[in-house]
Amino acid sequence: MDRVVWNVHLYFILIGSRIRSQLQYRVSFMSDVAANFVASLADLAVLLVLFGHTRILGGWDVGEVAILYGLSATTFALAELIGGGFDHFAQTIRTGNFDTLLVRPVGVFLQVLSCEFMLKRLGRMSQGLVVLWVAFRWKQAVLAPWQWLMLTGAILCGALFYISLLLVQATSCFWAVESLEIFNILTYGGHEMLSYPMDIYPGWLKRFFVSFLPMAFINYVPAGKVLGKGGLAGALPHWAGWLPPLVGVTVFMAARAVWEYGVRHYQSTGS
Amino acid sequence: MSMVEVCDLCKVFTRARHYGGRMGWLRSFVSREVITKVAVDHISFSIEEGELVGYVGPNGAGKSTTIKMLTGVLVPTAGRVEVKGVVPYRERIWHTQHMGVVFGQRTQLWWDLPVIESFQLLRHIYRVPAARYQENLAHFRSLLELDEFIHTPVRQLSLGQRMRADLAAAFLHDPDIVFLDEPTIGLDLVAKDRIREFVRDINQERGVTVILTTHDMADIESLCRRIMVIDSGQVILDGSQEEIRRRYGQKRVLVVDFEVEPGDFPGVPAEVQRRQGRRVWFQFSRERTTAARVISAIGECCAIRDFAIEETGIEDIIRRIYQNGVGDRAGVL
Amino acid sequence: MRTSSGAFTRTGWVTVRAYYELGVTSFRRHMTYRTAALAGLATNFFFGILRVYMFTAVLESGAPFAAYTHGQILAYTGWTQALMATLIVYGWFELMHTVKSGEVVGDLCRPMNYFWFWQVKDLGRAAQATLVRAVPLLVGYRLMFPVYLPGTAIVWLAFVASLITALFMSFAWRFAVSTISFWMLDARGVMSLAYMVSWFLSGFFVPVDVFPAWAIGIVKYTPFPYMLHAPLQVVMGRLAGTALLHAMAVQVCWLTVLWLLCSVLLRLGLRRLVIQGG
Repeated sequence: MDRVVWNVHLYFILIGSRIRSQLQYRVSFMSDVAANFVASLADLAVLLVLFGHTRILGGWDVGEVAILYGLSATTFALAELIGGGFDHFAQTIRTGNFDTLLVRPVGVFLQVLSCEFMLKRLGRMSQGLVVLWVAFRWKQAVLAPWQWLMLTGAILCGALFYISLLLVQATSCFWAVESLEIFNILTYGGHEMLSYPMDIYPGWLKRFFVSFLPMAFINYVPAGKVLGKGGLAGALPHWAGWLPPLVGVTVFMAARAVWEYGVRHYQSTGS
Repeated sequence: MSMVEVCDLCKVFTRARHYGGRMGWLRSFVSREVITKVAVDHISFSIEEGELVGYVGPNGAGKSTTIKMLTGVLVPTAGRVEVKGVVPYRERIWHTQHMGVVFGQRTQLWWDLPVIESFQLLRHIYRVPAARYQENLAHFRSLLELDEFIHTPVRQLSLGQRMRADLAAAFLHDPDIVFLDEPTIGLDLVAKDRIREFVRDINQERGVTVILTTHDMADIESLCRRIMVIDSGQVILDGSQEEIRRRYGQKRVLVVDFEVEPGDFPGVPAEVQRRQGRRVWFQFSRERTTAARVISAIGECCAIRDFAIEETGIEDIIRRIYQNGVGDRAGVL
Repeated sequence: MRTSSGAFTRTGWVTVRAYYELGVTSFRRHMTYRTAALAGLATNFFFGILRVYMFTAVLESGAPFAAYTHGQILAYTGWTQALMATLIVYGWFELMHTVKSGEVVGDLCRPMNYFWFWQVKDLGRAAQATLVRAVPLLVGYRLMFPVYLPGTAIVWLAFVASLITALFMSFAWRFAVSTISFWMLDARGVMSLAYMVSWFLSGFFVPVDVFPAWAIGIVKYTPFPYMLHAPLQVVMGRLAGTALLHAMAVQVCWLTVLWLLCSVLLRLGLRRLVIQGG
């Protein structure tokens, strides 16, 4: 237990130093955040343009799709904010810096996690939160405590899900020279896909992302339950909205196991 | 109990075979064939507490692989390795807590942070008690003259400054054993001297065991009582510096300036190595004769104006060992 | 650009040959990034599928959507995903990196026109992208969806001509944006913003003609729709006859304007570079 407390304490100390070093260059930091904010505006603009032509998309109105979009953007940005060290892990391996992590008396997972904290992702994250706020205002929805809890759980556990994907992608660096960019399909592609209701996608895509790689639980299912939607979300039982924590934690545990296997492989091959 | 115990240690690397040619990439992709390379081949040695050992060998001899196994970065293919009685990779966290490393080629510090902040982070990582940290820091600040750049970000440091900071970082948590992997690479003479002085002091004062790999024999000459030479994955020589000198450095060279240009040297128990006007280089073996005897024999042939004796440096000895091997495989003295 | 034509008369084919070799080398170099190409292809394909269903949902809601047919919207998503790597309007930082690393000094010392030096290198890159990204993606797309394809050779010819003009326009635009790095130490953020605007306004995300009317009113006076939207209208059979000729004439005009802009920016930027001493 002492070990866990100490690791958490150390994590915040290391992250603190990352944040301070990014804030040192104020101009560059501000422009990074601004660029990140604007860059994510394009996706929002697409959504607004499409709803300029139709009132309903796959059974969801503009406010509801905006809620999906906001959840997806916030979740993904949160994952990138926290998991940046795994996002850039290919470089850590290439430069041989991974060895310097192995000679310190701390778990390597914690060290990689804490070697980067991408503050500029706050740009996209704040945009996602603003969209969420505006969308709920537009819907004139007053959320009950259970709805708040369900959505918060969805955001946090969705981030955990994305981090797990980044973790598996990083693990692939122990074998390949370049990180497996094919994972971008799941991270960036997943984020894009989840910005719209699953109901617009064909059966095979739905089945894949509900049963095989349960990304639908990151935002679509909980949002559908909170908003009382029909369609695929309505077809699932109510408790499915509470699945994100279970899904997030399970996927994360699996990714951790893969990561530990990768570290052991590295230690026996030295790549 | 010895500090390091290595017995029949092996490390074999395998990598997938790559094919050339037009469809080579496809063959490489499909093929399961692997190429194996033995980096470390049944080496055994032990190091006592407080020793300062030079671990040398040509590029690709297996030095870094050995160091990586001793530091717990790599898992051995076969054999036994123990440091302070534990197997490094198995108890990596405990082991690294009591160990320090300097990689000359890359820094351990945070690239974008001032040196002092890197130290503070390391203090937390190694859980150094505050008082002990302050004490060590003050000590190293004066010993390594860190004050001039301690508030500068690491990326702005010169190589010499960075290495000093890295050295201090490796000793902050009072390690029992420290691995220095080419700590003087790329440094100028003054910087090298400063680093050697520090390593010598800390080894003597604190009894820290130091294992030093380097290509600069001057490091070895001035620091290490004991030298281990590794080549093609095997320890081909392991002994004290004096022994190695005595055994492989018997050849001495006498340089003589004569009053006039000399003729032949009959009856001189030495070999003429080279001539240049009035100056002649004689080579003789320490075992077979003495310098006095050689000089007096030469003096009888021609009038000597001046002379000097050149010893074979450790650098020459090691170079010759790299080139020719040790003669007999049982290199341990 | 002027020096280039001068050089042509002076040294004739030797110069042409040098540029040709440069382009071919660039092509070969890019051909070596196999895994990246494969991953990029897969990602483009997946995004394309998502976009197909997104647009299909709009059409199924019964919206007129600027009179796009299902076949046309399939063609639109397919072509945009395919040409993304060829045109890379979303970001090009190669030149910026050379300014940052100081390599730019060596490049400027070459007996070549600096703009065309980069232009031919970019053509090599574009050729590679077309071959390994665009073509396989379109073939796969055609097998999967009933994509609308024009029936007559003349439309194909017009499309290719318009697309090549668009490629030159896109490079000129990227070059112009890259000259920002002559003035700014860390130009990446500002450049990303510029690219983001051009990427959106060229119709990569949604066709320009489904923008709100007020936006179309502004965008049509910028060069951006001519970097992608216009050629795609040709291949979707939505632009023909005099309107087509008109669009292509405007393309050529914009290309000329962009080239002039590049030459002015380059001259100012180099003066700046010289004053700073690199």
